[in-house]
Amino acid sequence: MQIVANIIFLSTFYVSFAVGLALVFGVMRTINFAHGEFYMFGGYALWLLINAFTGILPPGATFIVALIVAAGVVGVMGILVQLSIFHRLREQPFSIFMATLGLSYVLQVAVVKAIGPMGQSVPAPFPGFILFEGMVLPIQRLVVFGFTVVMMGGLYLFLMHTDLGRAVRATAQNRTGAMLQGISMNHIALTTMFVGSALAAISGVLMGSVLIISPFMGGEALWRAFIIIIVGGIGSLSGAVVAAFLFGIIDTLMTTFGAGKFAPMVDAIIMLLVLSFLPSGLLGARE
Amino acid sequence: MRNTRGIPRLALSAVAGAAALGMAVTATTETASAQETLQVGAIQPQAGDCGQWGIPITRGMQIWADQLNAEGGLLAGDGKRYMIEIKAYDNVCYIPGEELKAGRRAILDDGIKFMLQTFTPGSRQAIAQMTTDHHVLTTSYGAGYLSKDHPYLIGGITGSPAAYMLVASRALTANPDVKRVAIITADASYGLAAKAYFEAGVAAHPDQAEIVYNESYSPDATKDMLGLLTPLMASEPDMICQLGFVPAQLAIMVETVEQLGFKGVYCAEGFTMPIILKRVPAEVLAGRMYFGYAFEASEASFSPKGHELYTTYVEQFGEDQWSPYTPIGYAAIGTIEAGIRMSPSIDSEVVMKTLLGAEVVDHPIFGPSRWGGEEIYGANNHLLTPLPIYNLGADGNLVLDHLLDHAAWWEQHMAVALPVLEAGGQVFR
Amino acid sequence: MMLETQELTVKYDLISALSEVSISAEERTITTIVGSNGAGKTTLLKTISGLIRPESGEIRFLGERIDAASPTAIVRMGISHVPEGRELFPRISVYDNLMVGAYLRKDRKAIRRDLDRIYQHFPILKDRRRQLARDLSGGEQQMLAFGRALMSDPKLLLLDEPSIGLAPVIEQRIMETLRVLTVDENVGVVLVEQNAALALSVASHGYVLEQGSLVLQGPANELIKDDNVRAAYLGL
Repeated sequence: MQIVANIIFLSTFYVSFAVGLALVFGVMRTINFAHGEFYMFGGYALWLLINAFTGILPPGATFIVALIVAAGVVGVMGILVQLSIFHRLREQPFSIFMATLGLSYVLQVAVVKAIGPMGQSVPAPFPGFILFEGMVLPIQRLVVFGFTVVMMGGLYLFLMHTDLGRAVRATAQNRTGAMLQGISMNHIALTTMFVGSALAAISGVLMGSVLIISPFMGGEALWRAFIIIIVGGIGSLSGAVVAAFLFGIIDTLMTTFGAGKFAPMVDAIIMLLVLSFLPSGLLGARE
Repeated sequence: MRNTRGIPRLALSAVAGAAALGMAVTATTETASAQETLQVGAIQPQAGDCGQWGIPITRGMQIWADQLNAEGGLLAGDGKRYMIEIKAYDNVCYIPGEELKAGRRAILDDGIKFMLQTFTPGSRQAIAQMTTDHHVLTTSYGAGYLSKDHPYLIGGITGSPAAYMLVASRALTANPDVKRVAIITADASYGLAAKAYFEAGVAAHPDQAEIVYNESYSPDATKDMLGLLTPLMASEPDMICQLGFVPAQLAIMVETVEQLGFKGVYCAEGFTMPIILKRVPAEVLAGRMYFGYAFEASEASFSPKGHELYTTYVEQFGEDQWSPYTPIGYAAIGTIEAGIRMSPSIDSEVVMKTLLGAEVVDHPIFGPSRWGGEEIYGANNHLLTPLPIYNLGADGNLVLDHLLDHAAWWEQHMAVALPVLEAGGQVFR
Repeated sequence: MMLETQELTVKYDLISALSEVSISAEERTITTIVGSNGAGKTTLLKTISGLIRPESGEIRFLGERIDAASPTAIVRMGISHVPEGRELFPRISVYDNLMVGAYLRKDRKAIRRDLDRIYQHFPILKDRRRQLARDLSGGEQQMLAFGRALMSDPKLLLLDEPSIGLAPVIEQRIMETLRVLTVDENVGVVLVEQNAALALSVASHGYVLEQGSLVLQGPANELIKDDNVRAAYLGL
């Protein structure tokens, strides 16, 4: 039964990180390599605030403050990336790719210089665990799961039930069509980068409370997220969620049955098979 | 117009990124030019996740150099003082091919004659011939790979991977009720070495313990401890030996297996106690955390000189940047320091011959130690320094549990340990 | 005049796509621009709606210069463009496609009213409002493209090849609907068509574009009788 809990927890991680990248990729049609570092900033925001507020605020409250602060600050960073890189290099996806890759290195090194290379971890803001039906359910992981559900719910409401969200979806599907309805591409790009970057930071705070926080945590998460959004179907948020659960199941089962070291290889093979036989991904657009 | 404006901007950002990375990679010291300067190379990961090992190791060497330079330089056997300059070379993540590239930069480009590298057998083999051809005395925090054909490659201290065997054995001796051992190691060259040595340490206690779990994990894929440790805990171990997790991961491992109901003892090369104790209270873990690698500088009683390394490091980088890996580079380079002090000349060939020819080497941290390694490596180029093994005290402080005589242990258990090492591919005779 | 272009010139990489094109269109009438493939018809519409910037010349709408305005500003002023290939949003619902058309409008009641009117004109859209746009037939998609354009409450509709790829019966229905809309919704229409016979049969004024230049213009019922037009575009 523990396997079921582990699958849910791992998939939660994959979902919370991949969904922001899928949104940005879907709308902007290019990769923001610094997305992983935005996630890392979320982790460090939690670490810094927990250290700063120890004895002042209960850790659980600090955790919630960190979610809000990180989302706001990193969301604004997303806007700055849009203004300084994406907008100026628009129509040149390869240049954007290289420029954000450079930015990603700069941000990593900046954190190494400012804080240090050693990975950090914070004690669980909501400590303890529940034993249920033979499963060990750490409370912090349940909290992370809950917040991920809330985050996904918020994103769903924004995209499906607001005019701006509808415009974001329309732009992702057809830029020319969207421009002809009077939708400003700049406005949508700024919105998307704010929301996508804030999602990365929220994921960083959530995961920082259960995984290690290091200057290099973003890079690894990013590669995993690439595989997830490619398998899920580029531009498809529901595809990203489905793929996150698929890999959550595969990776957990492989680890459980002693084949964990083959998991990256198997994941890559699945990606190649999907690219060969379903080039648009599991739930991607056929365009 | 927009296109042509965009390209330099892109180039600029890429260059800025590369430059910033480069700055992090080569840490060099400015030294006074009054005396002669001796350049000492350090091949270690300088970025990425493995930088969590490589950077503290390099910093430990830098503090070693700073301490000697503050005394006016290292007093060599030729009666002169030499200022020390540390030059760091990135081997990415202990990848043999990168070790070779880094070795070429150090040896061929910069003319380095004294050097520290990782113990990982693959990485040692990668530059063994080059160190021989160019007379580069190369130490490491452990042996890993040595050969009579490559006398410039030395095992500076007991270190890795021998310490894994000794720590596992000590934990079993101290806890006679431990019967079931779980071994979990990284699926990389250093992890495979650790796996064999943990097995050899358990094999030295055939009537007491058996191995019930023995798996490698992929360091790239292992983000979620709960998934990784669930099958380990299903084997119901009462001792867990681990190698390959970075310090914060190890802390999460301890927390996770405690939640999963683990009550036994831990063995590892090092624990970063402050981050573990944030997660699990000291009174729960006291007496259950066996570790030893070189020495733990934050514990003052073993070596007052070594403890200075800790205080200096914490002053420079902060307490939460302290790493149990800082002392290992410091200790391993100490063997070269001992050689230079003994040798009538600082020519690397003379230093090598003096050092290996000495019956007893007076190591600056461990004191008098003898050479060994013949049975494993076919060459007695491994300095068998005594291994301090630590544990956690009830008050949350580290305590020196035991000072293990490596040479004597080997004498006693070689007959059972050697075949296990051989089966694990760790014998290079 | 509702819309006027004056000596409009557009270049793609130094090659002229339009040279000195001057047209005008009036309210409540259909003005058509016919010409063969590559004559510059689509370029002209894209330039009017701000997707392409002209090299020289002017565009005026209701007396104001719009040749430097953004697509957003142009939609806000009351020009709505139904592009070639319709450019629908394939994976969102019919309802959402229509609502995106009203993106710049704030008055919820008026939007609701316009939505109801569009459902009256095109009852099939109401029936299928929850389906994804990509699941509609070609004719239904064209109706959706009309509907979406009307949701911005336009004064002028630019239509690019609305009949392309549709069966002749549907073509006729589309043109009929267009005529009705012009009167009912009080909009001006600029209709670009390769099917000159069809276009000239519903339009009141027409222009003939060849290789980026205007070669002929006049009332539609005269153009349809012109020998050159009949030979070149009507296949007679």
